[in-house]
Amino acid sequence: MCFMCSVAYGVAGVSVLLGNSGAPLALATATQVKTISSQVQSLQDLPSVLGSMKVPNLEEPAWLKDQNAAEAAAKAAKSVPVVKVVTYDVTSKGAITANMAEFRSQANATLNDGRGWARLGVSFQEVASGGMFTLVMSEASQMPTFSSGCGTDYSCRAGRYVVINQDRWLGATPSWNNAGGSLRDYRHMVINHETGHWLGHEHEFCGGPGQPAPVMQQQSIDLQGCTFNAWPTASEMWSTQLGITKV
Amino acid sequence: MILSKKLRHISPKRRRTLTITAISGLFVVLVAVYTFWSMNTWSSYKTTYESWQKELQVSVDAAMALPGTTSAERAKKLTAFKNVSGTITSAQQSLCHTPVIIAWQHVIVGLRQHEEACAQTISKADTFGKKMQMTTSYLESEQTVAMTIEKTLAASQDKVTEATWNSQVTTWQDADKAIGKMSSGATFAPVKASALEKVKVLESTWQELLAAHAAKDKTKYTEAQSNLTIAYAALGSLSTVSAGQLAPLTTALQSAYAQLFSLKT
Ligand SMILES: [Zn+2]
Repeated sequence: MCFMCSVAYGVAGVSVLLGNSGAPLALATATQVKTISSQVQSLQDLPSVLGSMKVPNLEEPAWLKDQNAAEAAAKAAKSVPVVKVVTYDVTSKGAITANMAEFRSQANATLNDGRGWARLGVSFQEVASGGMFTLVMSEASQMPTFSSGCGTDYSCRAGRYVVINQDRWLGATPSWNNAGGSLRDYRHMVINHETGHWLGHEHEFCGGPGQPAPVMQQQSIDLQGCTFNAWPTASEMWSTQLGITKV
Repeated sequence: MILSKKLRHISPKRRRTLTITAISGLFVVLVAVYTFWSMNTWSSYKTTYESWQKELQVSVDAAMALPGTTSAERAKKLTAFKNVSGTITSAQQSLCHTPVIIAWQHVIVGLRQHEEACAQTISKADTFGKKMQMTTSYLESEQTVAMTIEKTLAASQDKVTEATWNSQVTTWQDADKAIGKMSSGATFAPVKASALEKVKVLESTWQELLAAHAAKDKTKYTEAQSNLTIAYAALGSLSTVSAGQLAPLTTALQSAYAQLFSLKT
């Protein structure tokens, strides 16, 4: 009887009891195997960081805004060929405190602006005298001297006279100011409106709530649900005075 | 003394028989004790590596169960995966050690199989641990780059006025430096190179925009602006580059996981 042999017999019995499972344990499931790869992939940060990235929204610099506006105005002016030159002379009535040089230059700029009546294919030219109409800067109290229909509150057109009320030129109207409109835009509007009468237009009405008011609407009195607008609309692009039907 | 006095009265023949009986009895007891102890040792050898394997899977599963929605959660989960590979490294030294006094018993086929199974388990665990280590190290680099880009982008996600364009150049330069100096493994190297290239393009495109702005040059400004859109889109494609590099790592990790936990995939 040998010691080693006895132990070997005993332990061999144990090995049978333990099960000779040299094979490893079956622990994982197929789903878990798939999970580890997808779980690890989901730890990436780049997809979420780059996925939510936005291309910066650059605010247009001031110089570019100016350049673009100038180009747009030039383009608009060019798009309608000038077929007619309309001459006008400028005068004043009563005690005038407004700067007449500014009045002349701003009125001319408005009349020839690419957004205005120039779209009729008309070029407005100021002459010393004998123009086709007369643009007048009038003291408010002098307004009724042009026509009984002209009041001291607003500007007016009487025959060949396109009369701008000095008070309105200098201070627009409370409703315009309250709505945040600029004085320059009011001046555009009043020049366009009164010249519009000379071109043959009567008053217009608001086309529908929220729409820009026709320039021939009495915007200083009632907006009728429209928004302030200083420029003639597309439907106002005609003139009986100049014999121009719709542009 | 009493025993030896008593033995003197026993005949020599009977005395020899008694001695042999005593020695045999002692031998049988010794064999029984050693056998019992060996049984115990082998039994615990088997349960030790099997339960270690089970525990390892539990810790992998626990890491997988962690949430990973926010970047902070993802960083925490990544640490949990890193700890798993650390566990494997420390187990390698002790797990399959057989005590010298019973080592000769591996001549018995059934026991040798346990040793072999343990060695196999530790070898598979080692492979899994190495794959896990490579993957987590890759993801650490990926998260570093993502964090740098995220920080840089934060400065330009709302409306950007001309007053801050200058600082855009600086922040992209900073991102360039930060990514450039980070150390990364071979698998991440192409992603790092791609990130650097894209960041440098952004840096130079912002410079282009600044120059056009200073010169009030509309043509150049418009060109720089569209180049900027292209540069941001190119940066967006970095996640595709990264996914391509990560894919072989996760495939290898998945296969090592299946091998370790005995799965046919
Ligand atoms: Zn009127």
